[in-house]
Amino acid sequence: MSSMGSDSEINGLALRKTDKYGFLGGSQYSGSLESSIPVDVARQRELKWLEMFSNWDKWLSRRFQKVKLRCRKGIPSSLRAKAWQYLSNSKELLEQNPGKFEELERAPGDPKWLDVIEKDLHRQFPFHEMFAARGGHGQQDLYRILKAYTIYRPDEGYCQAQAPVAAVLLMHMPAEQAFWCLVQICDKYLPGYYSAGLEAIQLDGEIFFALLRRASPLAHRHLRRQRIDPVLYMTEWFMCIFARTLPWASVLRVWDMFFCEGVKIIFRVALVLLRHTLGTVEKLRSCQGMYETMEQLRNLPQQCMQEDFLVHEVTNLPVTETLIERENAAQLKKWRETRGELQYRPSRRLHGSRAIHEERRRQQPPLGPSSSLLSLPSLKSRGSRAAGGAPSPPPPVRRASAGPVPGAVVTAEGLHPSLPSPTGNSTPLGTSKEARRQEKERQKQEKEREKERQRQEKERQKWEKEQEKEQQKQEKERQKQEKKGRKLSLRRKADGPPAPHDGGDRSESASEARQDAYF
Amino acid sequence: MQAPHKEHLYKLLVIGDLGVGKTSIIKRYVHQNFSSHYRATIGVDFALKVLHWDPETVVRLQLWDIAGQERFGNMTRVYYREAMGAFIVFDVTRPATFEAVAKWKNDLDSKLTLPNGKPVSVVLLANKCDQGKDVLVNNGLKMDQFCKEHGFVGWFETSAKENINIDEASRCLVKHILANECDLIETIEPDIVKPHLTSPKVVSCSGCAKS
Repeated sequence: MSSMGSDSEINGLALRKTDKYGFLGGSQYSGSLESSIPVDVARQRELKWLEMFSNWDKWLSRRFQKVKLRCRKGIPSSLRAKAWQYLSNSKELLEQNPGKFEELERAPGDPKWLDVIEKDLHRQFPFHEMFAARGGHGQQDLYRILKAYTIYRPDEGYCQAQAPVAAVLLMHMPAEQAFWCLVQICDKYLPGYYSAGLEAIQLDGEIFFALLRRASPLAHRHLRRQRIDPVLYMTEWFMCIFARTLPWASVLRVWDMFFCEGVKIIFRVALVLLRHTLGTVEKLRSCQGMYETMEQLRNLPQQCMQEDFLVHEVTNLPVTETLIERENAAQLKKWRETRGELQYRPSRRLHGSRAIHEERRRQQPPLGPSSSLLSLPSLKSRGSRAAGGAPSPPPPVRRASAGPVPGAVVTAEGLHPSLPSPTGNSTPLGTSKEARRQEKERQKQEKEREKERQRQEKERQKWEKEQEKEQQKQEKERQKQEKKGRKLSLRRKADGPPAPHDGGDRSESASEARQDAYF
Repeated sequence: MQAPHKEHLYKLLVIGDLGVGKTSIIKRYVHQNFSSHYRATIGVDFALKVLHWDPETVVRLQLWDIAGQERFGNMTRVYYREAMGAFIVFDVTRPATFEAVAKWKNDLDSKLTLPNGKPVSVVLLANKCDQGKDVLVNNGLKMDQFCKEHGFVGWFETSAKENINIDEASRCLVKHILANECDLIETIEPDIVKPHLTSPKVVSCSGCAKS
């Protein structure tokens, strides 16, 4: 059936020429202004990525900085789809759930969602060759994965902003892979963004605005004076991960970094855009009224969206996970004071592939007594984050209450693959005494393991708390010292073109800060 | 040539269920064209229309195009702020979108009032009337009744595709807003000289004349 779709598309559009990303026109059509990488460099990069794929776990746990750097340089387009699936760990999810996607496809689905999805199918990247034709294979696949998601997550359903995200994924990979990648984005990277009520995005709007005060005091003051609420301009940026905002080459670079580093990248891109749109006195001169300002924000300066410039700026912006989490806690508190309790409590947000990787490691602890979580070196970086992120409850809470949530399925199917499972044989359950005994035994083991895990979790939390305290102490001291310097440097940066790196990256360690430098 | 005496700037909302043609109506009204290549609106979008109302008056309309999906309803309070009027749009070919009209009206009235406490003027648009399936609005009397009950100042059958009635609907809304504004000024400064607008009752559009 998909071949029919592509036939009709070819009939209709064969004569038109697409750009190298498949766009036939529209605002995201790439003209001749492409920066291209020399062939030998591209080959080198491909080889490096292939090497990483072959030792992925090792690279992620031991050489993450290098992975991050390579994502910032841009993933080779030939390997982008694979890299996104590795980075988001959707690859493993797919492997652990064979046939799941087909099963979801076969389910009838809730007409309430299907109606809305159908209404949106022809409204996603109408100028992209894949989605231009009504009923073409692109639109068909879009329908398949959006529908599957509403069945996979009936509590979430469908949000209009998911469609562009799904469409970008479909431009790179087959429907089933795109589906699991979408799942990871919605569950791990941006939990709550697409849920009813859209609280998470509003909260991020507040966080963003608070961060803007540091990144561009001028823009912040201007927006505050004109009473332009963040949700008026950042909703589409954040929810679609800039897929409808930036030139396509930049979209891909931003997504490369996003899959690796998480939501931090979205914040940074938005901050860079604002800084270069409303960050100087001259720029503000043409924004006398709210409408003029909004116009500026909808027609961002081309120069600041250009891929190399944007990535350079994003890389140098000292906005860290810790900072975001701290602001998250502050804004959440404010929210509760002014608007009451959140209606929807999403699972904890994971900041990129390392955090996802670590969560996976926690859920599938390697065998043996040495598996203490505290011995994982990478945990150190988590410490700071967890305390700040405490307001959102850990995922298990939600899993437990939400009934047959797929997370649970995944757990059941993939939790301890390395353990010799007593029931993992051909004997059907409950048929023999032996089987029942084995089952009991297994449950007992499971309980013990759970206990052990809880103990470790407690220890970890304690450790994290201490770590946080320590950090706060250091932070205070640093702030004291920095107060003058930072104000100056941030302001200087806001007012001019790419300035040298701001002094003191606030909370990331010195080495991390160094790694932040592009190339 | 004499410069216009008065300039008004009004924020108008365009709301209604998803896919009823809000963006198309705005594009038609502001850019005089129609395309089947619009993207679904995520969050909110804007457009500006300048109306030369009469030789002395220029009216600038800020049109706020608001995402139709229900879950964006949580943000509508922010979008509605300081609006002076609204269009609520439904799709004549989809009865469910008409059923949602009252819901949108309630949402609007509960979150937005004029400085004098009155609800803002709202015009109802029965869009996609070119598709000839408008069983809903065939009964004009019923529609008039509906508008009266729900506090719409008028209603129009529109088509963004064929450019039917959009200018008219907008004029109707602006007229009511201008009239409201006069009332507003009156209530604040009772002995102000009344502008010409208040003289004969401002009714000439289909909906308002009947209601």
